[in-house]
Amino acid sequence: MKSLIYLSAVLMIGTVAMTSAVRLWPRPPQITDLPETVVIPAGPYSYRPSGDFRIGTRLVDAPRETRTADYDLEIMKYPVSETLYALCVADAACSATTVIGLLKAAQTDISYKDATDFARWFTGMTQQTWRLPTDDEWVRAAGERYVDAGLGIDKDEVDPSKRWLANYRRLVAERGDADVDIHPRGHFGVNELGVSDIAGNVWEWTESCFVNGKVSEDGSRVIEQTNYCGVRAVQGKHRAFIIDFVRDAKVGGCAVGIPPDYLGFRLVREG
Amino acid sequence: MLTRRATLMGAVAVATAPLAIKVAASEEVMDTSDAKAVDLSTLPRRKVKLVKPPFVHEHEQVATSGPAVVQFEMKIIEKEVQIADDAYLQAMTFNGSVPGPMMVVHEGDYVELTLYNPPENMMQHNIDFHAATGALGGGSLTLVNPGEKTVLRFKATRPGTFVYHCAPGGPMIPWHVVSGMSGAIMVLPRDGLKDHEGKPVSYDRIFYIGENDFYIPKDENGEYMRFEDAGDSYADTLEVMNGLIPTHVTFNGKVGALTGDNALTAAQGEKVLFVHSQANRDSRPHLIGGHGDLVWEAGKFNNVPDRDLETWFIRGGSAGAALYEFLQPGVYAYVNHNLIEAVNLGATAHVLVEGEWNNDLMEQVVAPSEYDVMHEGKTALP
Repeated sequence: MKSLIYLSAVLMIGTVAMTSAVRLWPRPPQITDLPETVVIPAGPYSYRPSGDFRIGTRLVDAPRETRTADYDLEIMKYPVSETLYALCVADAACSATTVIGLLKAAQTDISYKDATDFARWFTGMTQQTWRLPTDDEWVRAAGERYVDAGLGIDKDEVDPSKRWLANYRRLVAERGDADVDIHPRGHFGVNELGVSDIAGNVWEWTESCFVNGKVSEDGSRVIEQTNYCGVRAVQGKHRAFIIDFVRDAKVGGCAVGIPPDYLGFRLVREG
Repeated sequence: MLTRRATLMGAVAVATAPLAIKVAASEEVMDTSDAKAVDLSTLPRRKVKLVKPPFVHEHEQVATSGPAVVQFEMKIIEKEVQIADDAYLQAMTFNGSVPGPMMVVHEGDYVELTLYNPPENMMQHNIDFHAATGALGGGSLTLVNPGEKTVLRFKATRPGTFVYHCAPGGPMIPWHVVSGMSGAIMVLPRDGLKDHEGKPVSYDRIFYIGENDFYIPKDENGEYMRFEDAGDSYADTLEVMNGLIPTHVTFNGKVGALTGDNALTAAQGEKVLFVHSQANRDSRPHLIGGHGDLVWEAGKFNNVPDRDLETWFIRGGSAGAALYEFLQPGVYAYVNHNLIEAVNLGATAHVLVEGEWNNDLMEQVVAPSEYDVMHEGKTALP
């Protein structure tokens, strides 16, 4: 009976999910004590696409769009813990990484590959489909803690150095000082939606790739885009693009720009 | 901890004892009271207050009067400082900053430094000026115990940028230096700096970039250790030092000390003199997106400056100077171009330059965009 319910749930989400395949679970779930989740109801949200956007050849802010989600989003309340990740490592399905050993700490020093390996394993163990959120979905769950990636530079500003300097200053102002202490999950509190630790000192991997896009002359909409998936968007106090195999962005940055403090992740459940 | 402190005090004692003379000449302690007196009473005297790096006290580039006795004061402060988000150092400092403040005088001036070692300090200190002649650069005239002061005067006879550092004897020398005790002095020619053709040049701004290499021990969990005091840190630090691989390489004493809110600023068209010192280890400054228009790589102004350098070499134990006019606005990174040290260990500063972009110097002709793999790029094949 139970497996039938799962099957129908899986079939239902098949229409929504981008990555999940319909599957029949071969054995009962190994993990039944599931992490807390929060449901973000379907509806409109404000979003600015992720990547570099241009009008003609001039870099501009991506247009801030109001999008409407037609599905409820169920997302983990907290980032994945060290305790839970350790089970995956013990099962030889995830690669070992740094262990802080603090009670209730979020798992950090996680690459995109680590996060997706974990999602695959966790999906099998729970017999429910879990995956990383897209950048849009993360923004929905971030609620008021979402930091708009726009620079507010006039789209007609012709001097590229203005945008460059503004971007530098904005990153500095937003990021403040790095917080290098790993805190127990919950330390940064919940947002108005009940999602915990958004925009603390752990940046979270998303499924979304870097986008090179063209924007309409009036700056209102994206008219063309190409995805580059060697880097993925990570979200937190600012949106950064990190190469998928990097676990510690502090030592993976370039000469200018400010890297995330720590990399971790949380998953969404489909259906 | 007691053992470590005992080790430290023991080392100090050895450093001052006659038996240790075989270690290095720097154990010599002398005085000049019986040497023939000089009369400088006719020279004007001027007191200068030092400022924290990367800034430099106000000074004339071209001297408008004759030689003077320029008086500086520095207090040695032993204290814990943060050198990275997750690392602390039991630092020893000239005047409370790492690096110590930069002094500027003119050739022919007399530098007169009063050096205080406050009673709350734990160790003996001194100062060795590479710009000075004799007595181990002043080191053997200035060894002060906690609670003591000393006054050293030396004549600035050679124009250039020079390192000064603490050198209290034996193994204390490298330890005090990598604990932060170094700085720089610039001795300008009386008639100012000259380019390769001997024509006068000046700068609109000066930044003093003091580079340090630090050796912070880690505990069994891989976390940087913090210590009660300098003595407590000695034994573990020595072990890392002797491996010669620094855990941090910083500008202005801390990873990120010259980036973000603390980034340096300049305007397009301004000439900036970067004085770069490293008291212990080689470095290779490079301004990403810029150059060294005129570079006194070894720092000595009687030599013709090199022109248009991409990267210049700072020998460990020296200070060099590079003059650059910012031609293009934007963000510049001033790095040690061992990029591992720049990016991973901390040796990066940023310069934010306001101005108007010049497409003649550089233009993005085609923005990054997808190309037709079937028909484009064939001519680029090797």
